Amino acid sequence: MAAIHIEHVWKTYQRGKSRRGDIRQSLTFWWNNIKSGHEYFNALEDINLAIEEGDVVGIIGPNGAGKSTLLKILSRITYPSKGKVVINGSLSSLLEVGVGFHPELTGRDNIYLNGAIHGMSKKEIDRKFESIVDFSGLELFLDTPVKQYSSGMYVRLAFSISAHLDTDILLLDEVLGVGDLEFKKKSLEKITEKLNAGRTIIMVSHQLDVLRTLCVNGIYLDGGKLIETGKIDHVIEKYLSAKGELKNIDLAQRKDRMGNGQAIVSSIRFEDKDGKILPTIHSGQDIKIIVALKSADKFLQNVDLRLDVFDKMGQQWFLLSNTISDGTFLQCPGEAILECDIPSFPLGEGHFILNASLNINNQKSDFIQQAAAFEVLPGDFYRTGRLPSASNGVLINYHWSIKEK
Amino acid sequence: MQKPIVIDAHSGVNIPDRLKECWQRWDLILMLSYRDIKVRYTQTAIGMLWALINPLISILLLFFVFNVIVNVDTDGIPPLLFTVSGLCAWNYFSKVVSEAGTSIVGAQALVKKIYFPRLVIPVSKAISGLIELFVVLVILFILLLYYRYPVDLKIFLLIPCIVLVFFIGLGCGIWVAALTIRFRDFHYIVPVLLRIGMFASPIAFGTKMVPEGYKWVVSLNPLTGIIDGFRYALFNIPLDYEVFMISMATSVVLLISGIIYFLRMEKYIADIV
Repeated sequence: MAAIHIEHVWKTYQRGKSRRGDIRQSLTFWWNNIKSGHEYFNALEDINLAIEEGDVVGIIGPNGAGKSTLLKILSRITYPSKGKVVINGSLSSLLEVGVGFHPELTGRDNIYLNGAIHGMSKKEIDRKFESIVDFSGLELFLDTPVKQYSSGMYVRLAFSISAHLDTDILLLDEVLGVGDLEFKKKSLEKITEKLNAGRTIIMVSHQLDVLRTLCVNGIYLDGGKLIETGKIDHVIEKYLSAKGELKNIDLAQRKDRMGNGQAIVSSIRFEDKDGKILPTIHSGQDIKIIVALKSADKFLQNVDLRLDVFDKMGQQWFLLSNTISDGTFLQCPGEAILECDIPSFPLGEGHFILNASLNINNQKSDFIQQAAAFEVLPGDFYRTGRLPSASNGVLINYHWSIKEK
Repeated sequence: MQKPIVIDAHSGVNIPDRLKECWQRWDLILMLSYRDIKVRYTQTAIGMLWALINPLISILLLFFVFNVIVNVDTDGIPPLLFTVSGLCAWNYFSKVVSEAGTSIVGAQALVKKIYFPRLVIPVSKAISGLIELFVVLVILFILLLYYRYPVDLKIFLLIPCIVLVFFIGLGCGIWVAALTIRFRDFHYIVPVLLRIGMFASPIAFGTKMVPEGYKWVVSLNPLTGIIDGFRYALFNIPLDYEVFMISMATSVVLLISGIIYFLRMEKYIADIV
């Protein structure tokens, strides 16, 4: 029997403002509805799926594809606008780490509170308490308020509670990317243990390599539509090739962007220090990333541009944010050219992509995934003539020497 | 094998099912109440004292205006004692309504990220608010001892009165919680209504002072009947049954309609909160 049946599920939101807010909005909503009807968009369009008991399914797709909406519907946080879902068995979800933690309460209190929120009874938590504490490795901090926890400790505690949920179906949203390496390994082991116990797991992640190792089957969503289902390798392949095709479209013409569009990122190119356009980048080369903005406004205020650099498996390598390095640009022309200088480019050989996000006055103005892609070739980063091998790591400046005693 | 969970966009709300599910999450309700109480009183320098200061200020204010300046008829009962007996129900009620009103919006981080029956949130506020009731009851008993006021076995009627005021607070709290999600305006409306309510309820004056023609208006206030109930239990002031029954009927209607409205709203909460 299928653990989850999804039949013709749609989720429709009204574009712009939330449906209800105050009385005035509610009245205008009603009035506009009579007058002209509305602009709606579908976060999910006619999704049909059956997920078998004991299956491990990874959901992939670009941002805004409807992955999280689907998980929210399955976990009953939000309701579908149309369609039906039947779930056989108990279900718990972990859509964000540490949901329901209260910073003022101690670790101990938070275990009980969070456990109760996730549906455990007091007795059940009593029974599992020791095991939870043991897994988290936070025995010494149980009576400390969690506001004093480091983010790593926070994640440990949160995940430890979730790992002790005994439900038949588990939904996870991008929660494996957190925590230190050792704890991550422990968490993955715990998840694998659950898999072996015959649990059904559905997870969303941008880390394709994690999905590839954990999942059996995959679901590829884009624009709210189901594009592909099947074995995880096949689905990832399909997704990657679709991503590749995006590159050939002019950035300014791309439609797969989010934000209010006050200003958009219209082009991104790479130049060397003399202003020559680079088709590829060599490790250690001094480069500039030139970003052109386009806007109908003459001037833009509080401009915050951020480029996030990923490899093609979705692993992030670094980010370039003017707000962090130089401060938000208080004012710049609407058709500005922003230039980012990177001395000694620090990545080894490989293919990389970057996502661009632009905030104007703290409002999300433009966000575009895979706004640019580039290839890095081996280069003389260390100025020694010896090229670093194609490694999975960033190149940093260092120097070894022998200290005489 | 448990019953499958069916999420159907077109089916209505199964109210008994939803209530049963709420009941099954009793441990969650208690944890949320515990959290509220602990957080409310551990963050501040004088902690629990605040629970005492708030009602004390209300008592002194009402006592001064109604019993010192206006000098209303209190049926021969020491005016301070009379006012405190009225404030028991009111203090609890206003706390629950104001807390419950903002409770769902205040818990939006939770509501958008995990499923549980949303009704447990206002219910937990009605439980954590019992602390406020308890504090005023303590003040009341101290005053009873101070004035050496003779009480008889009727005082045990306070217990059903407390149960009733719990449901009145809960009913109004659920309504306000649901309305605040839909219309944020209730953030501003509720404090105004509560301020009016503080003077419109017979806290520092007795129901019998209300002119005959206005009695039905006053009895629509669910607090009127219950405050009279407290005074019947404590001072043997005869109940006006008509007023009492209308108040109780209003409360029952509010509670039931509140639950129904809230449960029908429930599935949209994460989308609009």
